[in-house]
Amino acid sequence: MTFNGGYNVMLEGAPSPGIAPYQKPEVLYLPLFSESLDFSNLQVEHGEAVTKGQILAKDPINFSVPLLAPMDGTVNLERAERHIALENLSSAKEGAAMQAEDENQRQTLLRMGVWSSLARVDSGRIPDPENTPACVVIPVSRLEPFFPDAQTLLKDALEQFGAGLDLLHKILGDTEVMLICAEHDSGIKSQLQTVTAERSAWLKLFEVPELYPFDSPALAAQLNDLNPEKTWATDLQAVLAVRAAIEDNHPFVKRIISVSGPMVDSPGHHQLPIGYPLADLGFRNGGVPLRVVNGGVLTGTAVESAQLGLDCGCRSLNVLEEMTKREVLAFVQPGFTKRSYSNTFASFFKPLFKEKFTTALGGEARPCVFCGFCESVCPAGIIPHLIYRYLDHDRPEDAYRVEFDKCIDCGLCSYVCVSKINHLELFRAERQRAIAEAIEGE
Amino acid sequence: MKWLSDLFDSFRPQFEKRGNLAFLKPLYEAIEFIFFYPPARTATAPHVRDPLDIKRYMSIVIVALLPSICASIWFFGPRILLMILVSYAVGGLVEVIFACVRKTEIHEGFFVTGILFPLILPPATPLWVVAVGIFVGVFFGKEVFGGTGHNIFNPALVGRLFITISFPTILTSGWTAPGAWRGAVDAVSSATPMALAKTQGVLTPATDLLLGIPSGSVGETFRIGIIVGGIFLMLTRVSNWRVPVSYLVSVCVFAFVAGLFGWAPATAEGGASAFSFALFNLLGGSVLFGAMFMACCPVTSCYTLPGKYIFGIGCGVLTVLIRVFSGYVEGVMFSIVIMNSFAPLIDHVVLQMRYRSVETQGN
Repeated sequence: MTFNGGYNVMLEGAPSPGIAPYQKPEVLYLPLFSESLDFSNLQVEHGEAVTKGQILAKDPINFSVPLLAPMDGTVNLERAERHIALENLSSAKEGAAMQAEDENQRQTLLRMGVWSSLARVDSGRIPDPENTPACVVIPVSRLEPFFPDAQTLLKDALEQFGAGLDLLHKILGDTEVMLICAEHDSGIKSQLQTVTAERSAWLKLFEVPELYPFDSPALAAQLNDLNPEKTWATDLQAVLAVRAAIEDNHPFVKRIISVSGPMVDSPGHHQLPIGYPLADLGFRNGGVPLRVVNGGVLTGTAVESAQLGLDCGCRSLNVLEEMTKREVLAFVQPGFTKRSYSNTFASFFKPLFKEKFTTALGGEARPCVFCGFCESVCPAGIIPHLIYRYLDHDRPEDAYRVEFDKCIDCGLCSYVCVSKINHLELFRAERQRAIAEAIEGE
Repeated sequence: MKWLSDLFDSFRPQFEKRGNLAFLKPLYEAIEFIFFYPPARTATAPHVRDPLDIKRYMSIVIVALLPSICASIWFFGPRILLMILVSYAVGGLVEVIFACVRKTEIHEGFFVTGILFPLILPPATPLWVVAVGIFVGVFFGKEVFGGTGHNIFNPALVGRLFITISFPTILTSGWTAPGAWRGAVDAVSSATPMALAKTQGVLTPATDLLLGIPSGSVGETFRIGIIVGGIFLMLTRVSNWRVPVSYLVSVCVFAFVAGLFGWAPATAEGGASAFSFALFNLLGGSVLFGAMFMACCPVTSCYTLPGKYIFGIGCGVLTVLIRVFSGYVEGVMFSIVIMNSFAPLIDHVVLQMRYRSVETQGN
C-alpha cells in the first residue's frame, strides 16, 4: 500500500494519559446545536423535571436523533439562548437506567444517543437507520492534534470494546468492520490484534504510518477500494457506547474528552456529561485571548462565545492563544522556534520539538505562486491549488473532473500554503452546496 | 521597536481613505508590513498555519543568490551594486505604480525579479539599459498579465530578451574579464567561453568554469556558488528539484549525443570528445544559473509533476539545439522563454491524460 503526502503538525500540549477528575457542575448547558446537528424539535417544557436519558429535543432533519438529559434535573429554557439549561442536578440512581422496549436494536441505538456518532464517509452526515453499510471504519489511533488517546479509552475496556464490535457488526446487518491503527502504536496494536484474531472473518486491522491524516476513514476507504457511499465511520467511544446501550441500557450521555493544546495548564482527559459548562473547565482566564477549538486544530471548529456547554458531538477541546502581537521583521528571523513543512527555518537543524502554535496566519494573503506544497502534502493525491482555482472561478464541474470528490477534508493544503490561501474553507463550502443540492434533488 | 511602531502609527492617517496620500496606501502598507507583520489570524479551520509566508519564501531565493552576488562584486566591482540598485529602483517603481492604480498590495515576487535581472546581464551593461530592461520585464512580462502569480513568462528573462534584441551591440561587446576592475588580469574584456567554443572551437576547462575565471554574465561566472545556491533552494523546497535536475541531465545527454554525431566544434586536436563536450555544455554559459534560478520559477514553469520533467527536458533540448545549430552562441534564455510559453499547454495535456480515465468511468 502506498501512502502519499501527509505531515505531522507538532503542537505543544498533548493530553497526558489517564482520566483526570473534574469538578461537579451546578448547571448543565446543553447546546441545541452541534457541528452537524440542529435540535429544533423541543420535547420538554420550561420547568419540567427530567430523568437521565430522557429525550429533551430531536433533530427532525437527521432521522430524529435525540438530545438526551445527561442527569436528573429541572429544565430551564430561559437561562441561555439556544441552550437547554438543566438545574437542580442529581445523579440518577444506578439501576434506574432506561427500560428497553421491545424494539429494533437500531432504534435503541438511536434513542440512546449512539446513532449520531455514526457518519457516512462520503458526506459526513448521519446515515439513515434503514440503510446498511458494507463496511464501518473506526480510527483507533488518532493522529490529528489532539483527540483522546486510544490507550486511555481502551484501558480496562478491551473486552467491552470487543463486545461492542460484535454488537455493531450484528446490528448493522453483518457489516465488515475495519480498525485503523498507527504502526508505531505497538501497545494498542497488540491489544487490537487480540480483538481481531477472534473475529477475523469480518474484522480487519488497517495499519497506517504515524503521519496525519492517515487515520482518516475516508482515506482508508479510498486505499482499500471501499465504496464511499456504503462506508460509514464511527469512533472508539461509540463502540463502547453501543455495548453499554444494548447490554446495560445506558444512554450515551457522558464522553471522555481531551482538553489539550498549548494554553491548557495540565492537558488531559476528562469524563464529562454533555452540557458541562465550558467556563468550569477553567481555561478562559489567562490574560490573553484564547481560541477554543472543538475537535482537532486542523479540522475543528472554533467554539463561539455564545456556546456555554459541551455539545453532543464534542470529542476534544484544544486551546490556542489568539494572535494579537505584531511580529517584527518576522520573515528575516532565523526561526529557531518555528518549524515549517519547507526547510526554510533554522529549526531544521534541531531535533523534532513540540511547537507552541498560536492562531497566527503567519503572513499576508497573496495569489497562488504554484509552489506545489499543497500537492505534495495531499494524502488523496489530488492537486488542491488547481481545484481551488476551478471552484474560485465557479467551475465546479471542472473541479470534480480533477477528482475533487477524493478530497478527505484534512486541511493540510491550507496549513502549508505559502500564500495563506484557505482551500479547506472553499472545499467545505462546495461540499455543503453539493449535499444541499442532492437533498433537494431527493 | 516601540518608537518605529509609533512612527508608523503617526503616519498612517495620511494614507487612510481621507488622507492626503491615500493613493500611496499600497506603498505605505508594504513598508509597514516589512517591519511589522499585520496581526492576521486564522478565521476557520485549520486554526494553525505553517510559519512560512511569501516574504520569507522569496527572501530564501535572495539568500541562495548571495554566493553569486558576492562573487560578481568581487569579479566585476562595486558597479554591480549600482546595477542592482537601478534594477530595484526602476522595477519597484513600476510595481508600486501598478499596485497604487489597481489598489492592491505590492507583491513580493518583485524582490526576486529585481535581483535576478542584473545577474543575467553582461557586467558592462550601461545603467540606462538596465533601467529599460527591468521596466520592460516588469511591465510587459508581469504586470500586464495581472501581477505575481499570473505571468506566463519569467519577467527577468522578458527584460533580458528585450534588450538583447534591441541593443545587440551593447549586449555583445560588454564582456568584461572577471577581476579586470582591480587589475587582477591584463585584458579588460574577453570572449565568453560559449563564443570561444563556437568561433574557435576552444572548450574552456571545467575547473576554470567552476571558479569563474572566464568572462560571462554578472551572476553566471562563479559556478560553484550557483551550484551551492541551487542545492540550498532545493533542500529548502523553495524550488522543486524536478525542473533543474531534468534540465541539467538533458543538457548533458543531448550535448553528448551531439558530440557523438560530430556536431561538437572542432578543436586543435581534431574534435572534442563527446564527453568533454557534454561537460562543457553543462558548465559553460548560463545553463546552471538558468536551471537553478530561472527555469524552476514555479509560476512560469509547469505545475504538474510530469510537466516539470517535460519542461526541464524541453529546456535542455532547446538549449543544445540553439547552441549547436543557431547563430546565437547561447540558448538558455530563449529555451526557457519558449518553454514558458508551452508550460500551460504541457500542463493541460498532462491533466487530460491523467484524468481521462476518470471521465470515461463517469460516462
